Amino acid sequence: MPLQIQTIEHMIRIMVITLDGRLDAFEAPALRQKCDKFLADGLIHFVFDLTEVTMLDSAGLAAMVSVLKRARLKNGDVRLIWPRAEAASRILKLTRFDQVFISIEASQVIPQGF
Amino acid sequence: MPLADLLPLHQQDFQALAATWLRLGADSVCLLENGQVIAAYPLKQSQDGQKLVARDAATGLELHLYGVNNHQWQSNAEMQVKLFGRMLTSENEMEALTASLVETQDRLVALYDLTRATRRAIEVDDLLALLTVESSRLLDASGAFAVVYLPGQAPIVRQHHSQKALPEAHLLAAATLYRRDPNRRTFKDGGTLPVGMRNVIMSSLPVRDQVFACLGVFNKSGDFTAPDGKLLKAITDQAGAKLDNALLYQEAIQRARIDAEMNLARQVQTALLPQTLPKLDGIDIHAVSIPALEVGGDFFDVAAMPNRPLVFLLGDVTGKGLPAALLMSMTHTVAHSAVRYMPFVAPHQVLDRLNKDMLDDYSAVGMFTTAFVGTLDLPSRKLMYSNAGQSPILYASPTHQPQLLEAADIPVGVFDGYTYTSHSIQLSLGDVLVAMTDGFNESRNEAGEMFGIERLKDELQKLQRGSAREIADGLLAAISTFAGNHPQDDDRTLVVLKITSEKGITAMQTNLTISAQYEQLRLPAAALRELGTRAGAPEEIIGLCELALQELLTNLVDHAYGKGLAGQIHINIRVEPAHIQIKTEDSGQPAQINLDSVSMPDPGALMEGGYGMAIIKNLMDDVSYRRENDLNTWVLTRRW
Repeated sequence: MPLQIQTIEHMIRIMVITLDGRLDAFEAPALRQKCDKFLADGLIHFVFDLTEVTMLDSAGLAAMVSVLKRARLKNGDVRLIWPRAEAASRILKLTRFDQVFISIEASQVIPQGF
Repeated sequence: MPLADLLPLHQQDFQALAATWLRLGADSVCLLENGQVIAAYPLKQSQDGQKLVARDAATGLELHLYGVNNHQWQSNAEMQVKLFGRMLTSENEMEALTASLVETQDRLVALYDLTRATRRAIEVDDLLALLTVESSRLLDASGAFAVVYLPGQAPIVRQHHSQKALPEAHLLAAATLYRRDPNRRTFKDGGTLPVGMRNVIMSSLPVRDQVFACLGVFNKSGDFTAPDGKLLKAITDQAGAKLDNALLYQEAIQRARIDAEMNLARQVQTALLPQTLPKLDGIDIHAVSIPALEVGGDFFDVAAMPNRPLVFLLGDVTGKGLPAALLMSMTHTVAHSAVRYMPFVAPHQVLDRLNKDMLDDYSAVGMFTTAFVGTLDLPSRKLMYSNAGQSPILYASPTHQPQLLEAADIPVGVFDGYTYTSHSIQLSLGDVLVAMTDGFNESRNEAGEMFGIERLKDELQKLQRGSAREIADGLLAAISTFAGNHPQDDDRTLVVLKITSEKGITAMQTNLTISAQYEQLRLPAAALRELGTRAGAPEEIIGLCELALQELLTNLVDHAYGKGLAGQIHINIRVEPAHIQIKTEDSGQPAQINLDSVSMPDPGALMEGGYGMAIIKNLMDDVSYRRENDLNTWVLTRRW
């Protein structure tokens, strides 16, 4: 019996958004705007690379929560690469969003083994 | 005294003798002294005829017997004239002796009076006045003078003269004659004596070495005699001891006066030095100056002024006594104003300024000063220093053995235009800097051994964990124990500085006003970070406050003014020693909020807002809101 070949191509689109600088009330609208566009295009998997974010406030956090909320509604998710700066991570712990967002290492953006 | 003067007393004896010869056939009898008739009997003398002459060679008396030619009487006559001569001579001697006794008695009484009087004269002036008056009287001269040569001083000259006083220079000239030739005591006018002095007799007063004093009596009618010399010597011999006492008394008074002045100088100096030291958070300062017996040249200063680094300095003017004290006072004054009023104070600039201002004064007296100037930037703990020959300066840290900060530059007051250099050390918790004068390392013990820098380092290592005061007291005690009974030769001054917390806090504040727009929100956060860092607030606290401030301002932009509404927010940030306070004022809408009911939303609910005030409450110790006169006031406080 000849070999039966069945192929399934898993096309998972992951949008990695790398931020560098302050993510605060002033900058958050621009991020929202960009993410709204991605979501409209059907993207549901996001990685926010916060490594170089120097400061994160509740407006910045709200922008990310907004993306998370809409992504999850479509069975997607938002993961975070943890910020180095205390001024950025402080609010995540304070609001306990560190327990809501799944945080990953930069190396885990591509699934293990690839 | 001529014998003829004595004859009247012996008229009868002579007449009896003459009568005997007349009975024996003489016409008349004459007595002659040195060829002059001193007595004749009968008075009418025969001018011619034979005479018998008998002569006494010892006295020069002659007996002339007129009308006698019998030579068998020659030997009788000679024996008689010899007897007569001897009698008169004895008489003469008796008279002289009596006169001399009377005179001696007079003088002894006078000398006794003088002695008694001088005993009461305890001041040099009184004594010399008495001596000149009495000696001129006793020696029956018209004037007397006294000269006292003291080492390092102008000679003291006093005179008593019944006529116009002689110029002092003339008296000194006469005294100089005698000083050059002390064995010759009497001088007569022969071109050598100064004008106005005919004759003079001098005698020195026996006083201690280094002092020469003499008494001169001048212008006696006739000449000074040997007894005058003896009398003057008697006067000076006993007056010498009195003069010595009077001089000692005068010196004691002068010394007491100098002591009083020195005490005053010391009080002035002590008052110049800081009486209190600044109290700063995280920095422990202590300074002590212990003067040696004499006033000295050590000084120090500590200046803490708002928005300036802490400045401290320490110096040691060379030498001791009043000159050093005077220069120290001037130097201290220049330094005092320099560290307080120079626009930007850097250690080397303080020394440049001192050198410039004080060089002439130091050069004039051939002195100089060593000095150490340090500035400590309170927020960063960075020490800058410049060292003009000051030693020892020790630096110790918890991780390193005490080390000597070498004096890289020359002392102040040596070279015109010398430029000093500053060096820097980053100080951290537990670091100690001890600036001392050489009164520490150069202290000696009874065996003459010096304490030295190595011992100071050892002592500092033992003491460095204590407070600045404990370190200072410990070092002083170590020196004092070492010195034992050896007196303190030099001032001991030290300034101890110790870092007692990682960052020091000084109260600082800043005000700014922003317009209620998102793009302006970064300014207050940046201002808070800058101020907090400069004032030395903990990094963690600065971060918390930054976030709280950011959240509050975002809230005000969002809610008080509403999106797009124009308005201003005034922000005042204060960093105090143990807390940061943020105060905002805006004239937007009143806040519809009950702070007590604010709590952190459940993150699982994925709410897109409502976190701001909860975050603020969470980060701050106190949050207050007040609406007054259409003004919203928020005050956030965070302690540590």
